Amino acid sequence: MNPGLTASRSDRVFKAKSLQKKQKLSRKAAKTQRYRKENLCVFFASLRLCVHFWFRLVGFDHEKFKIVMAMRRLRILKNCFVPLKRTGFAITIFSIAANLLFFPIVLHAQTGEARLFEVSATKYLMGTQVDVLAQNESIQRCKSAFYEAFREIDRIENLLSAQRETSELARINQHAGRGPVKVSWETLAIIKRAVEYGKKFNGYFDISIGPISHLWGFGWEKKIVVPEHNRIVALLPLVGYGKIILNESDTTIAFARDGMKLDLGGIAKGYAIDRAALILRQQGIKNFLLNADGDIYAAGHKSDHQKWHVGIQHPRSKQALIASFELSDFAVATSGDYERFIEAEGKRYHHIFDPRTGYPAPLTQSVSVLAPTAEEADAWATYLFIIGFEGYQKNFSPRTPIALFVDTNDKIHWDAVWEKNYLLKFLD
Amino acid sequence: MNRRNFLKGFSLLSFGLPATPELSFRRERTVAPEDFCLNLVTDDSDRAIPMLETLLARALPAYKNLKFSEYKLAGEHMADLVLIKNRRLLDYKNSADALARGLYEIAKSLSLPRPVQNPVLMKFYTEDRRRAATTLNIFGNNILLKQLSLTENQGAHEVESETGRLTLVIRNKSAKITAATCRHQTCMTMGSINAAGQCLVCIPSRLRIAIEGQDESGLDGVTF
Repeated sequence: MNPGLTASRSDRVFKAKSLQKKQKLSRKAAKTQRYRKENLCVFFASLRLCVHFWFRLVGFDHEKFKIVMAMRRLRILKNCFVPLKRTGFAITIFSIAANLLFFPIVLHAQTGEARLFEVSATKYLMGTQVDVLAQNESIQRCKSAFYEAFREIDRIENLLSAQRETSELARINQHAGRGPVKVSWETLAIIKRAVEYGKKFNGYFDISIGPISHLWGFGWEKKIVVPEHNRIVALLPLVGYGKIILNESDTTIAFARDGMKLDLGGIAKGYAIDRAALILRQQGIKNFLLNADGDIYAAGHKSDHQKWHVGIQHPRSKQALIASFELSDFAVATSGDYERFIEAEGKRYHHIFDPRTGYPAPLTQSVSVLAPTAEEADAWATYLFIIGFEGYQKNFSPRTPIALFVDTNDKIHWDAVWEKNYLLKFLD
Repeated sequence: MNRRNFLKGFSLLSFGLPATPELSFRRERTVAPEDFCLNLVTDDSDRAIPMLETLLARALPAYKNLKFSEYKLAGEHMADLVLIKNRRLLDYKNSADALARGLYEIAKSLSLPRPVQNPVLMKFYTEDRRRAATTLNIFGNNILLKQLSLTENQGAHEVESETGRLTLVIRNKSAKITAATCRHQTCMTMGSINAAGQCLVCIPSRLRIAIEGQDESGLDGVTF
C-alpha cells in the first residue's frame, strides 16, 4: 500500500506545542486541582446526560455525539482508581442518583433511532469533480440543498474563473493594467484577503503569479510547455502582490504595471467550498462532506459514533493511500506536484510556482493542511508546499495549522497533534 | 478499595456502559443483514422519492444507513423498478412480503414500466465493499451518457461531447484515455483507472469517466 516511503515523527513541533500548555504547580496544588477537575467532570457529564435524555423524551432535536465526547473526557477506567476527596462526595451521590433515574431512559432512547439516508451527488464544476455526501432523514431536502450549493459554486466560478471570458477575473486580467476596473464587492473582498495572505506569508503565496503560470500554461486554456529561462526572468517584475491597487471606496482594482495577471488557483476553490458549506447549513443539512478536487470540508458526523473518514493520497501512485484520519467541522486541503505536471528531460515540472524564481517549487511532493475553513487550508497548503518542511519548522508558531509533508526524499513528516486529535493512521 | 472509590467507579462505569459504542449492544444492530440494491428509472422523481422513503422505513427497519444517489440519463429509456437482494434479482410482483407489495403499489402508481424521455436513475443501496469494480460510467455535462463494462477487453471507444472528443481504451479491467482533441491534454497524463470510485476528467470537453462504487478502504473522501 505504501511503496517506498519512510516515516519520521516531527518531535520538534510536538514539543513546541506541549511546552506552552505545561504549568508548574506544587505537588499538593496539582493534586487538589486534579481532584477538583475530576469531580467537576463527573458532575458536568451527568448534567449533560440528564439534559440530553430529557430532550430526547420531549423529542428535541440534538446531536447525540456530544455525550460520547463527554464520556471520552471522563476516561472511565483511569478515574476508578483515584481516591475521592470529601468535596466530591455529594457530586458522586448526585451522579449515581441521576444514573439510577435515567438508566431506563437510556435503554429506551437507543431503540428509537431516526432513519438516515446517505445521499451523494457528484457534479462537474470549476473544471473538476465536486462530490457532496450528506446524512439526513429527508432525501428531498438534501437534493434541494445540493442544488443550491452547486448553484453557488457555479456562481463563484462565473466570478473568479480565469478560463471563462465573461468572468470578473478575466475582465480584471484584461483591463486592469490600463486603468481601474469596477468589480463586485465579493471579488474585491476575496482579492483583498488573498493579498493579506501574501503579506502574511512573506510573498511566498502570491496571486499575481498569473504571468508566470500563463507562460507555462498551467490553469489556462493553452498547451503546457517548459519556457526558456530568460522569458521567465523577464516576467518576474510583473509578479508581486504589492502591485495590485485596491480601492475599497469605489470597489475598483488596478495593476501598477500592464501585463499583470491574477491567478486565484490557490484560494478560489477553497472559498467556493466554504460558501457551498454555508448554503448547505442554511438549508438544514448538518452532517455533510464536500469534496472538490481533494479540498474537503466535513461538517458534523457520518453517524452517531463515527466522524467522517478521509484519506491522503500517495503522491506517486494514484491507487495507494498514505494515511487516513477523522474529520469533523474542519477542512483539509492538499497541494501536490502530481495532479498537473509535465515531464521534460527527465524532470518533473508541476503547477505550483515559487513567486521568487518563477519555477515550480522543488522542496515538497505533497503537503496536506488542516484548517477551520477550506479557503485557509487551501492558501496554507500552497504556501507550505513552497517553503517545505524545514521552512514550516523554522516559521512554526501556535497559529500555524497542522500539516503533513511528503518531501522529495519520500519521507513523511507530520505534526503529532494530527495523530492525537484526528486519529491519523498510516496505512502500511 | 474504600467505599467512596467503589461508589465512584460504579457510577462512572454504569454511566459509561450505555453511552460507549465499543461496549454497548448496539453494535450488532448497525450491521445490515443483507445486501440490498433498489434501482428506479423514472421521470417523476419528486413523487417517487417520498413514497420510497416511507416504504423503506416501514419495510426495512434494520437498514439504518441506506445510501442514495441519482443520475440524469439522456435520451429514451424504459422507466422501471429493479430490486436486487443478496445479488439476486427479485421479482417483486409475485412475492408476498411487505417490501414487495409496497414496491408493486409504487410501480402501479408511477405506471411502470413505460418508455420515457430524459429520465432520472435513482439508486438505494447498502454498502458492499466486496463488489469488484465492473461498471464504467461516462458523464458529459453531468448527464450519464454511457455505461460500459470493465470486465471485458474492448477496443477504442469514442466519447463525444459538445465541446470535444476523446478516445477511451478498456483493457485488463482498467480504463485509459489515449487521445483527446483538447489543447493541453492533461487527461492523457492522468494514467489508467481500475478501482471503484476513481475517475478521469477532461476539463475542456466537460467529460467525466468514473468507475461505479465506493473504494475498498471505506473512506468518505480522499484529499490529493
